Amino acid sequence: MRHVAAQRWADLARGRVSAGDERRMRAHTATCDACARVRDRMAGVVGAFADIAREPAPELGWDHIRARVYWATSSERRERERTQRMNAITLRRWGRVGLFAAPALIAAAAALVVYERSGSGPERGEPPPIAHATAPSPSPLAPAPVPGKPLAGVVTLAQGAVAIDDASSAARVLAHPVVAGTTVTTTDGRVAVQFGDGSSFALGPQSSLRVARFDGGGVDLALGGAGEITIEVAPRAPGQRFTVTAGDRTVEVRGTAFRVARRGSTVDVSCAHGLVAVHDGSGDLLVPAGQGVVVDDAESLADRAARPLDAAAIAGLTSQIGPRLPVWTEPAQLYRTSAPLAIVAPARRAVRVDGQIVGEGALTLRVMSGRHLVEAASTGGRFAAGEWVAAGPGRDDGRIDARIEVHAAASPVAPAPSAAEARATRKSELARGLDQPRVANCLRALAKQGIGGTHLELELNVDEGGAITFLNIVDTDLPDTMSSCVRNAVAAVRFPSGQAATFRHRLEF
Amino acid sequence: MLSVVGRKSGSADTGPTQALSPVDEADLIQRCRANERAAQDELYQRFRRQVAATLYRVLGDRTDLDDLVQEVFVIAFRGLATFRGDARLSTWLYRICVNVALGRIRSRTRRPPPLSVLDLEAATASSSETEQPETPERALERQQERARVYTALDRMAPKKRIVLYLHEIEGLDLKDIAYMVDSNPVTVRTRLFYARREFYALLTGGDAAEVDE
Repeated sequence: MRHVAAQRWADLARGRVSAGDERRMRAHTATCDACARVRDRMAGVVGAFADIAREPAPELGWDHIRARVYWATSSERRERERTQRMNAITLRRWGRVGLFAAPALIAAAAALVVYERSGSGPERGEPPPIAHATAPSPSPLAPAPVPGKPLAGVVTLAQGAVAIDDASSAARVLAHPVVAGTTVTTTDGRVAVQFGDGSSFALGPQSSLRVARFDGGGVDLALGGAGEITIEVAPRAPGQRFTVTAGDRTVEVRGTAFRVARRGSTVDVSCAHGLVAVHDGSGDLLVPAGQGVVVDDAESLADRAARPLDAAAIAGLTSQIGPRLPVWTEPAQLYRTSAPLAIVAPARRAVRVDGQIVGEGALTLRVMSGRHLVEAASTGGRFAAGEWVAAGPGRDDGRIDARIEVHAAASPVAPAPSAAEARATRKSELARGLDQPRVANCLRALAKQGIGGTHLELELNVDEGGAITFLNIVDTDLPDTMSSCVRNAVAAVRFPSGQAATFRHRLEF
Repeated sequence: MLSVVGRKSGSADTGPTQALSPVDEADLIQRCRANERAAQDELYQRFRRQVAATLYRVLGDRTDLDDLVQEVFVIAFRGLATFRGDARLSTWLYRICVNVALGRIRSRTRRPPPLSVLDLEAATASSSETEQPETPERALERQQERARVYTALDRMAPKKRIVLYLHEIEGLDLKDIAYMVDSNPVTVRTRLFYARREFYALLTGGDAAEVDE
């Protein structure tokens, strides 16, 4: 007896079969209990299809998603624009090389042709003569930088007591352009200045800075008797110099992100990436990426060597630079299209704007016009639901355009577990999450031979977000391929968010 | 111009906003391309529920759903520069959702979570909106039926699963499915034939082995 296929019953339930087929199918069920059961079953399935198709969208954290989308797309766009600018600079440089090299090449080719036609070619075994070409005239741009047009910086963040020239209120500081001759002073606060799309500096507490030179030909920032400045510089124009003077020493930028701190009689230079050179009367000292140096005024640079920085120090360097406006044009236009935003938050609580941490406590920063998500961390360091604030187009009178008060809820969570508890929790999560069939598959060759009693000991760190930051094999008696296969299985375990922990785990097989 | 989603079930979840006219839609796209933040906000507000609902229906669970919604919109904003306008914006977004969901199905190994009390409460709550009130038992039955459908879908190859979902649940025709999965209708028809046979066999557990197709 031939039965009716299940999908035909589903079609029937949705009215997708002809009248003749329907008659035949129904007649069949009169004598076939199996098909009658399948028919009823398929009617339920088709009902489930309709339920699924009507399923509404679940409620999600729409504002958080929007902020993350905005951040991802704007970061990509900025990176793309920066790459394009760098490519353009490279092309211009090569263009200049080509411009001056072309006459030399033509002259060389002409000399070679004349030489060949004159029949005075080299005798066999003699070294070929060198063709002399007219030397190109020196580049009018290359030897000395031409002073470009004056630069202007825009204050993007002001926190605590800061002053720029005679402006001391947060609103006036944010509306004050930073140009050559400007003096920036901080007592218990900090201030961040952006100039161009990719260059910024942030002045730390108890600092004073004078902008000695600020134009296309060079930038010279003079740190006062004490203070700390963190700088990130986009690729500079050809010939442009960028220096920071601290006491008798000059730090010249040859890279991108670094910090200079003047404390009493010492100068502390740390480089996050790129390269900086420290000069004084006794000589030069290069400080490469990931290294730093502390030099006392009484010491000679020749006696000092750069030392490696730890990961926390490097991370601290890069986090000092304030928020960056995603679009840079001329300062005047930027003032029109952006606005100061005052944020009132509890002291020592991190504040996040559009997903990026911008500082702690109360602060004022410049943001592009539009809606922004502002969040303050709780005592547990977690960001609770934030609030949206709309910042309108900028105004020239220096008044605060938007103000928001974000309250960080007290940490609702219990006190953090001890390190031992965190390790135990992470270990049990690893044991639960490990894909045992996958591990068994790694070891199937040994299992076939009846070999057991092997082991693999791992050391791993799981951060608060549940990501594995490192995973090393400490000890094993497995062959390399098997141990790395098991290691990969461990690396695939997905840990939930929780306390960070570093621990060893021994797997016995 | 392809317009799939507007006439399908997805339109029910686009929220209180009215559908855009083609002219307004073109204007919105143009403003988004110019990186106008207000336009991007509008596009997000208008389509976020549709995107979330589509992903939720295709995948059958809400694990990491916010990450997937974010991924869809990032891809969309990135791709608007090359969007030719040969389909409606909603259809184009639907296509991105399908592909993001397909990637998710391929990468995940976990099965959907078992029924929870919250799911049952949700099922009961949603049934109260229908004209005829449902009993909790009936709501549970429907929820279990839905779970069985997703269990069977989870056991299928991703490509077969997607075409089956689009045809059987969303009710799209072969041409629309071919657009969604970037294939041709003949291939889709063949894939659908085998997918249907496998899916219903999984649901019936092999009853009625000797069948007429």
